[in-house]
Amino acid sequence: MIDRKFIGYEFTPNEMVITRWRISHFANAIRESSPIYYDVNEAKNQGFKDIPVPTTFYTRMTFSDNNFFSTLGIDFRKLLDGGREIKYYSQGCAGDTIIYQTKVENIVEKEGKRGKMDLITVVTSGKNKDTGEKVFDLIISLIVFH
Amino acid sequence: MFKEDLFFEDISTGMELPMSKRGPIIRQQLIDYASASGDYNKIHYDEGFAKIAKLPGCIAHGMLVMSIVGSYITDWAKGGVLKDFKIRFAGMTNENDTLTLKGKVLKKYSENGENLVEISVLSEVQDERITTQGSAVIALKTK
Repeated sequence: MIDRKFIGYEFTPNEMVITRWRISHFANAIRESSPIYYDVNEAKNQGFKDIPVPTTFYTRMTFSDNNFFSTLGIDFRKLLDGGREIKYYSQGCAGDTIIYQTKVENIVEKEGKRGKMDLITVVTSGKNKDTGEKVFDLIISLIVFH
Repeated sequence: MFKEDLFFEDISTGMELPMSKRGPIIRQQLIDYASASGDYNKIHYDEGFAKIAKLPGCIAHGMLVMSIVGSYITDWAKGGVLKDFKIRFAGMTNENDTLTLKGKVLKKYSENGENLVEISVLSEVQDERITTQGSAVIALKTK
């Protein structure tokens, strides 16, 4: 059972510079065929200021602190990834620096077919370092069986 | 590949997105994704390790499948802006599986000056087993 004292806990923020290389590397891994992720001129023709990030690129920023799992005391053998939600507020592009921070939004107990479990909702929020503009919220639902 | 932008007027509730196939997801792609995402869990690219973990073989990262579904959405909604995208992991996608992607328009509405469509999406593997299920909200341009 995860300690309820972590509800509302905020991890140390982190930052990442989005580069064209990082985006094309990611786009290739998902076998993305659109040229806007590889060619800056194509991106600009489509109205972007630079190469835009693919929809799930922010996954790389899932946890602002590498010690997320150990801090909460999560046993990987009891962990199930329930799903993800990404809310988009502004388009991230190559050249942007993102500051992101992970927060434990809630922990509730549920009972399912496999017995009692903790459902942990974790939100990582990203904003543009230079403009302060909000960029995304990445919401993770983790299931930890007792 | 030339494709026209999608407009709000082109959408009607209940319409289906054109079905699309992606894959097969081969080992090289699993390695590429491990590198790009930073998720180096060996169940995704080391068959021996995957079998020790009681899996039938290497399995795709759930987030790789979500990424492919995301690409399917932005491909369809060309010129649109993705506002929200959520996925629930329903089953394993195995190495060498080919994904069939499907979607449907749930509703269209206007809010805060934006013209939005909400769609449902899913990915299936060969035996029509669903591996991810989710939804997305996209702001579209008007004519």
